[in-house]
Amino acid sequence: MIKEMIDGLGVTLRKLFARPVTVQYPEQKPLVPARYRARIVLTRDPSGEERCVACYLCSSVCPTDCITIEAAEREDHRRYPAAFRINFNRCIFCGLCAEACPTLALQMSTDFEMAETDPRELIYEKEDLLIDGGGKYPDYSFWDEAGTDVTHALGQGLQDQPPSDPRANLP
Amino acid sequence: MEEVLLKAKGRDGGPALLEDYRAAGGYAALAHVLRERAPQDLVEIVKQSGLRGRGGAGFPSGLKWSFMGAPEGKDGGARYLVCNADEMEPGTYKDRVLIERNPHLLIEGMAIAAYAMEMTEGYVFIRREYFEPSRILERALGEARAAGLLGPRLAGSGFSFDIHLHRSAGRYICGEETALLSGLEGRRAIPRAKPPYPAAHGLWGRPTTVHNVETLACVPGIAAHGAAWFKGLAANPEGAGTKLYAGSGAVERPHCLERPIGTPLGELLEEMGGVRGGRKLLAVMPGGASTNFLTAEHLDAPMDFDPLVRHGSRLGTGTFIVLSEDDCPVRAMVNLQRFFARESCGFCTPCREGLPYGVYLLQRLERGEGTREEIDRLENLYLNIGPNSFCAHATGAAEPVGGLLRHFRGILEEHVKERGCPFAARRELAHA
Amino acid sequence: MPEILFDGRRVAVEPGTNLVEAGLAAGVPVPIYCYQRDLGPAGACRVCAVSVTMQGKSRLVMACMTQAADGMEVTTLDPRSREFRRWVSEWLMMNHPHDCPVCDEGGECQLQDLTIATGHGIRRIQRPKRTFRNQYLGEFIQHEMNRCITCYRCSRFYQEYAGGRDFGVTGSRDRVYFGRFADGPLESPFSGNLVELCPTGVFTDKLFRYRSRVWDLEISHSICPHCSVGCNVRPGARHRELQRVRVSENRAVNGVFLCDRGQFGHGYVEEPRRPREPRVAGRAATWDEALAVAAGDLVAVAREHGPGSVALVASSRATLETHAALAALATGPLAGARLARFDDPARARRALAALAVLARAGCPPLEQREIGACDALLVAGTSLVDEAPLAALAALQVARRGGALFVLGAGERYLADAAKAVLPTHPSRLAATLGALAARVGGEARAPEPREPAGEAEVLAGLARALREARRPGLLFGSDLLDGPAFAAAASLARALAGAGATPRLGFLFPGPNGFGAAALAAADAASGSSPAGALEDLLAGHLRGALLVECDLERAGTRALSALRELDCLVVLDYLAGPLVDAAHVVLPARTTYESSGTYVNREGRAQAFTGALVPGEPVRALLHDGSFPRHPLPAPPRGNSWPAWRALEELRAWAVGGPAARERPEILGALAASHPFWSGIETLTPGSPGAVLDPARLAVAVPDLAAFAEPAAGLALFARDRTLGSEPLSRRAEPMRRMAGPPLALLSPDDATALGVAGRVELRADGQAVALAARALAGVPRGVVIVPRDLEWPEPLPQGAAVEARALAEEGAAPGPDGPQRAATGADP
Repeated sequence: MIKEMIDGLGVTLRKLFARPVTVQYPEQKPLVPARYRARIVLTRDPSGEERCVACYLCSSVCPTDCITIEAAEREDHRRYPAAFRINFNRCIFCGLCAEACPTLALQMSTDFEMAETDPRELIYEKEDLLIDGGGKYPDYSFWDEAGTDVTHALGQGLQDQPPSDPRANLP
Repeated sequence: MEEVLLKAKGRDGGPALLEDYRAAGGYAALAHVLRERAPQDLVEIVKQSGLRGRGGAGFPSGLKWSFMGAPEGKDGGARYLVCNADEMEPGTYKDRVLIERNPHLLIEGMAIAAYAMEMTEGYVFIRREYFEPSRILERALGEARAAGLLGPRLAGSGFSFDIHLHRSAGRYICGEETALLSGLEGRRAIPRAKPPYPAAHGLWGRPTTVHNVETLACVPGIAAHGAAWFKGLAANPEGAGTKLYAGSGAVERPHCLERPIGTPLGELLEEMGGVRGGRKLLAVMPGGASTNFLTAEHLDAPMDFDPLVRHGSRLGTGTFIVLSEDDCPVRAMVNLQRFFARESCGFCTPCREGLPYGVYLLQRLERGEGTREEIDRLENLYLNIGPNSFCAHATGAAEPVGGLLRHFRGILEEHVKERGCPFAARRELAHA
Repeated sequence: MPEILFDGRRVAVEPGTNLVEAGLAAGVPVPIYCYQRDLGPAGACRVCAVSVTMQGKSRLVMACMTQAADGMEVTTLDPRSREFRRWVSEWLMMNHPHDCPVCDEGGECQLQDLTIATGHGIRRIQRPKRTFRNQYLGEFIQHEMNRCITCYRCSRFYQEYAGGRDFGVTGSRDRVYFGRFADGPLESPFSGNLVELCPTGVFTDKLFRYRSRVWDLEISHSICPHCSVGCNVRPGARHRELQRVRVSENRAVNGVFLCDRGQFGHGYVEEPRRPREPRVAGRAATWDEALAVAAGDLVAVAREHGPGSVALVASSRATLETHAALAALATGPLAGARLARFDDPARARRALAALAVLARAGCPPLEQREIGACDALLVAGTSLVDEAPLAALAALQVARRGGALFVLGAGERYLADAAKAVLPTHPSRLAATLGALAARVGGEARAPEPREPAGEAEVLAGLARALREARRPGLLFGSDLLDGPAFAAAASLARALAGAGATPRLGFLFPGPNGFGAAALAAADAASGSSPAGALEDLLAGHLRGALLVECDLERAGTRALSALRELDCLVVLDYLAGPLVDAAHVVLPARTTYESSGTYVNREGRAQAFTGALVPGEPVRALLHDGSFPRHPLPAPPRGNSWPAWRALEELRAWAVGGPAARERPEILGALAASHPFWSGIETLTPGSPGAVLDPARLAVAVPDLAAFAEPAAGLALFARDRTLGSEPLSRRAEPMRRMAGPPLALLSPDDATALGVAGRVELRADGQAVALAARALAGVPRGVVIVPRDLEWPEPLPQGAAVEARALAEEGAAPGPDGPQRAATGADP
């Protein structure tokens, strides 16, 4: 037992002279890794439109049920969230929502400075969540990849052939 | 040798008209049968003759005829004989030759078969693109009708039978017997589930037998000369009758000829002048596009049903496609598989989606974009398509790919290794 | 019975059972796409591949195409079948658009589930995907062909099962296309089933488009309130909004199918004008205020003019609970108030006449599931697809299974092609025809009457023979097109058949989802002395002073009746539908819809079924959104969510008017009903989602109501009103987009009359000094001398069934729609 105590104090002694890993926050800002899981943002696709298609996967996977969405259809048939709310009072920053997001709209940012004095301030609506730009994935656009005809003519998608004619059998 | 199927000759290379056919002894068998044979006796004779379906599957015809004997189907309603002249197998043109040269033989064969199976109506379901054969057959039918050889109480007997000519709307799948029946009924030409088989529930729900043109053309001979004669025509002991063989691809003189069934492949190839340009033989598909490859070592194989099965292939329609040493079998296979994928009726998943998948893999391999994993995947793909599709279409498509992988895996691997077609490179070298 | 070993579990199944069903019996769900129990096997998708070992030999077979045989060992777990199923998934995904995030099927997509279950996860093929153009298929169904996996379920259902002709399959190879020849609304009234049948998202519900994920929906067991068949449905709601209605499998009633009226007719729940707050004299009030005023006014009228001057009226769309609570209200100061169970006197009498026949016939009821199992079925006095669509779908199966289907009646347009014979029968002659048939069944070959149309004798002879020789004969009668003698003749036909040793199953249609229940209650009321329709007739004639109207549709009762109601000393309306009476009422009490409350309905076969609500009423969240934000302030209660189930409101009203505690739970109310008569025993024990209980009308003493015969008018045409498939009953009439799909009202004439009158596009009908102009069509199933109009056609004063009208052709204004708008059934349409 004595040996263990000495070993333990030895570590303390060594660390006493090592460079500290803590920083003097808030005077000093810590270096946050790019894939840090902090404030959730909604990104935009390369054309500047919001990426979210209101598929409800993030709200479904959320273990604290802090995401609320209302889907709607735009004039141009684009599916989008008519309302999107994240209650950060409940959010545990687990990142499951970002992992579930099939359109790369919902991403986690490095901004962890979210302290508020009024819990109502931590209820973020869509306008609070939306950022400019594509976040970590600037080039991806779900609508161009999926076989839809919302952002492009039918058959003009990145993965599509021109529309086929079922009444013909030419090669 | 004595020709049986192409015996009657027309004038100036044209079709044998009624008088030509009669001059060669035609319609004697029909008259003889109507006068002296009971239907059941005929079924028995055909059974003994060893006649097997010439459309590709080689099903014993006598057995097929005996299915029509079921008493449930004999309720006084219609019973149909359908002749499958929807000859769309790549490389196959024997039925066309037969109809173009000797249309009355088919008519007589149908009448005798209908008499034996107590049928009331016959249909010839002919390929859309066979404009000339349709015209010739239509004319022959008119001649026969005018001569009382078709229609009510034909040839003065108590038996009535007529034949309608139906021109297909044109799909390969119409050659499948149940899809043909659906098409004949005016519905989507997609195969039906078996059972019930056509003998019980065929055209418009009535007892029906479907036969290939050449099979029916064998019937008058059997009816006239008997089972033993027919068996004696064959070149090998297990065979029966003669066969229309035809060649295409890299042969010097591709044409159709009648030989005893069981004539060795090499002999037939010789008669067509051998491989084109004196090149070496690479492979032969003995019976159209959906049969497995034979190679040079099989040249003495008798071209008959059972012997070819023993060599891992099938006689099919007996119309062989020849590849010479200059022809890339992968490239040929891409071509064939594109055909099969395009001609799928789209009913079942393995055929509808699996065959285009196969084309995709083969095209990649052919272009040299493929990998070894894709060769294995190709093999696994066709192993799963072949036995598990709804009808025989995809099964037939899978057969030559199996042969490609068995005989020419090395060539496939060369494509992968050289990132391109070695044949193309060799051709360029030869031309340079 | 063959005994097989399925994935190690031993199970015995009926001979002829296929391996998919055998697997279910063994507790092994074999993957399926194209197989569906009611449509049978197709063998197209090949995903149900299983390995079968028999006599030592093992092979891969398709479970749906293979019948279980004794000694089979079946497995889904061996490497070979797993590898093949994985390939099937890979093939099916080759051309799939991978647009699951924006696909409404996501969450209940069989393709999604099985693709994951079979182990296909990575796309190994880099090839552009095949695409198809989509079609406009009407306001109900969204078409997205790229998602198709070619299982043929849609075309098999639409063409083979439901008899539709305007939708099918074209193309071949990997270009198989399911759609119409050209864009246009689907004509079959059963098109909504494509949504449920499609294993992926090719056909999705347009009303539910981009609304919710299915796992977020609040779903309950409910009963469709749009007709008397009583189909089981699953309403789905989220954020205080009824977003969709889907069929709920109940093999005892509707099986797995539903009509478009039931599936897409729910828009009335979210109708903007719907009364959602109690109102007193046109001003919003609290429940307590409204109840106090209503109770005070009703009691005051009763005190002043006698309780007999107060009418308590409910309709056949009110639940049993509501009817029971309404009857309970007639105590204390309101004892002697006059009860009405229907909101239409003529329909009340006909419903009672039908109940009387059922009570005395001694025949088992023709249950919904029995219709399709009949080998001979007579449908008489109805245009079945218009009045009870799912009964028509079941009747079509009689013909599909090779049985004999006969139709006697006016305006049949759905069963015409499938039926062995259709006899267009003038409703005034239906009794004579049924009588002649009964005589033939009884063995007398009565000489054809002089007026009998040519050919009728042979049809009747064949019909009599078919019914007599059938192992399972069935008789199904309508309601709206039958007169008193026809009901009597229907009873004598059933008796004659029973006498001939072929006891038929006997069924009638009833008005509304609870028509049978309301009629049974009216029969009990009649037994205690009140005339079944007298109270309502007196009320509408202006003889009474006060009324409580519970879920009543008197909008079409005519201007005289409406002004009589407006002039009442006290008019209390308890309803969830807007209308002129809600606007005129002194007190409005907002009720909850079927999908928002619990209750019990008795369907046309006498089956009592309980249901429960899927949502709490109130302003939908969607309506409260502002600029991408949900409401920022916490809400103490759902805004405008202040409505109660009708029975609950009636109980509270009783507490105010009469005193005594109000029942707050359903069983309290139903318990009292169950105790009142043995007919109702056990009614309080029913649970939502159970098959329900079939009540036996033989236990009731039902007096035959006084119901006159239809007279054939000497001049002009006889006018008959009946429901149409879409948008004529009070609920779906208020639903968008049902109104658009239903199209304008349409008069149906016989081809002879149409020619004689020169009717091409529009017609003017004239009677009693009123005139109505509407589009007209000739229809082969309409007998001569008859004009059929939808029940919701507006006349200044309503005309009785069989009233004489003069018809005059009007010049055509553009292209008129087909019979009953574009949503007509394809069969039996224009000649």
